[in-house]
Amino acid sequence: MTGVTVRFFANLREAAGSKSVQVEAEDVGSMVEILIEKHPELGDEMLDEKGELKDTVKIMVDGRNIDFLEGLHTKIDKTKKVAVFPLIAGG
Amino acid sequence: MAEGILRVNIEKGEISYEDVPEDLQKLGGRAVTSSIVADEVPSNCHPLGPNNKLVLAPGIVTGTSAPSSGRMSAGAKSPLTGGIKESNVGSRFAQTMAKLGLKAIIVEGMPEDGYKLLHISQEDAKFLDASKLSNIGLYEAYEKIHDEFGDKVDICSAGIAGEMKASNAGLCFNDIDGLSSRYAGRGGLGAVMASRGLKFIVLDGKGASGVEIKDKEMFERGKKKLVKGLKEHDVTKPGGALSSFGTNVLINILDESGGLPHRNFSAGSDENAEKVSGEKKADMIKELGGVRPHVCSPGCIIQCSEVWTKKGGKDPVGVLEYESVWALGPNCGIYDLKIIGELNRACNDLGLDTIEMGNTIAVAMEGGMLEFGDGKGALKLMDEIRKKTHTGRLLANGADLVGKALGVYRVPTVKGQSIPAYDPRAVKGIGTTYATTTMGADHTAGYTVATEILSVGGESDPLDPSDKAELSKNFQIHAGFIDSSGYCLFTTFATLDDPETMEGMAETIGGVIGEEFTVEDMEKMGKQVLAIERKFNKEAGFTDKDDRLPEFMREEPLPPHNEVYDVSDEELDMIHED
Repeated sequence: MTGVTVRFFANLREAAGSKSVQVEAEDVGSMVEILIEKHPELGDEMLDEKGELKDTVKIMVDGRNIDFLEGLHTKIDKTKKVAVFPLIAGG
Repeated sequence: MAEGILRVNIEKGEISYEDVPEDLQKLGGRAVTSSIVADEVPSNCHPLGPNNKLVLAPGIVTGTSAPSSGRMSAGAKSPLTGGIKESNVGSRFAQTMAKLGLKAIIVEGMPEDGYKLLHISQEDAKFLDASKLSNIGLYEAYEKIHDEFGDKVDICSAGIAGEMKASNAGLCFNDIDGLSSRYAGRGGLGAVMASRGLKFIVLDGKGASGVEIKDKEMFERGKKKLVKGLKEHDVTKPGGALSSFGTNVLINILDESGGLPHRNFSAGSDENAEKVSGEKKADMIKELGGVRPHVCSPGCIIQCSEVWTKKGGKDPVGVLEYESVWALGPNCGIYDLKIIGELNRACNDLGLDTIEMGNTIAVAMEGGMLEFGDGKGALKLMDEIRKKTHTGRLLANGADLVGKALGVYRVPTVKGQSIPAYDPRAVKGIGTTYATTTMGADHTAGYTVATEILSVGGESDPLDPSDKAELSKNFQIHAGFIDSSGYCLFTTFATLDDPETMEGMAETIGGVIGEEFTVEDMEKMGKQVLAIERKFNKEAGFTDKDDRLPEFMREEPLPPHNEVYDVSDEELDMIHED
């Protein structure tokens, strides 16, 4: 198992304290747990009151929303591009 | 002043007020402009000839205290598409127009030469000579107008591109600081205005009587719900993504999704995107001395706007929208916000739509006129337009014409209008809107990106073609209503996620028109608008074959997902069937 680079965008960068961090994880669910353990400020931004991933947080693996992959069970490794976005919009 | 329609004809020297016909009294914005254009403009007329008319109309709630409602529509037969056109803009001009009791302004006739300024106040409307304000940039012209008429007046104008009768001449409006930076840019309406002999409309709202609200209780009830929804939604709330980073916050997520077109739609992602992102721009605005957040019109909760400047706050441009940054940036292989700011300022100054201009430069790059990434070269092309050279005239007429002139195959247009900042191969619902809307390629005509990329109002896989016809149809219907209401399209992010916020919006409409108005009535209004426009285009000669994306989007897979656009023609043709 090797580190996955997780990139943050918009106001999640402030919570994470940087644009990206390295995480040792095999799937997205464990990645989220590790992220919040290492960066507790991300907990407020990413988890709801039940401790579940907020609907407003969008995680993408190789340019695909995990909702259209295998959700929190989506596998990741160091070859994958992982990005975490808060709810954003524009036009 | 009672609500009325102002009709002006410079050729005949006539200005008259008319009562609002009964069928338009409870409508606004796009519903009014498209109805008048359909009734009064022959569908087969030449867009620059004597029979076309420019129609301006504020939305139903525009000019009231309803939040984020400073929007209006401009309509005509488009010189760019040859079909009916509605171009929407947020500006204090819209609110002042409504407060002056103007349901619509209709500009008609075709004088032989010269330009006028139409000055409208609570007391009267009159033509003034505009020759000294012609053939100069709009930033300078707006300063002169404010010097002469006061800094509170609002302005609508055609720029140098309009004087050239160019198909990419937009209609320019002032922002709250008086800058020539708010645009009803699409479709060449600046050329329609200039070809009527009109360069400027100046509104003096002093003493304006305001907008009548027929059922104040209903209006206030709805407004309360709407304000609450906008203030609580993560996207629209103060301090939310739009006010913190502006519309350009989309650059990174579209690039990550593989749907941000780079170098004339040849790739959907590029490692340089971050350099022109909303996050980067927000940091640079702080460094350079600009303003963020800002509003396009008073009373907006969302506050997505800004003032981009050079160092020390010099040479203010106004807002650098997502669409503009993309079109003049990544789509041209340019990843330098300072260059993009200069290109945007040139567009604003000359009276050009940034989406069409960026696509035109990109097609010129593909055609060998200059290299991708050549920002200085792109600025030189803008100078060609300013000098009205033959090359400049070609460039001011859009991507389609330049593509033909240079023998380019990959020309990203539908009905002659350039495709905005979402590649249809990676975001298939918005491609479906581009193909089938009456407007030519236009993302605002059915913003499926909300559910495909942003997870607002549900979720739809952007790469799955199977549900896109229905998705686009529903968004197109809602856009027909929103563009008529006077509300900003961005209110949709909150209303789609919360039924009570949507209900509040409906009640504000009901309050203004004085009768119950429901969410179902929104749909009826949207369908009515689309039917009027579709009929006009059909009579103008459009068929199902015009509701198609350019061939290369079905032929060339777009990296990184290597998808083509694969919504079937049969599904596209079902969208407008009842």
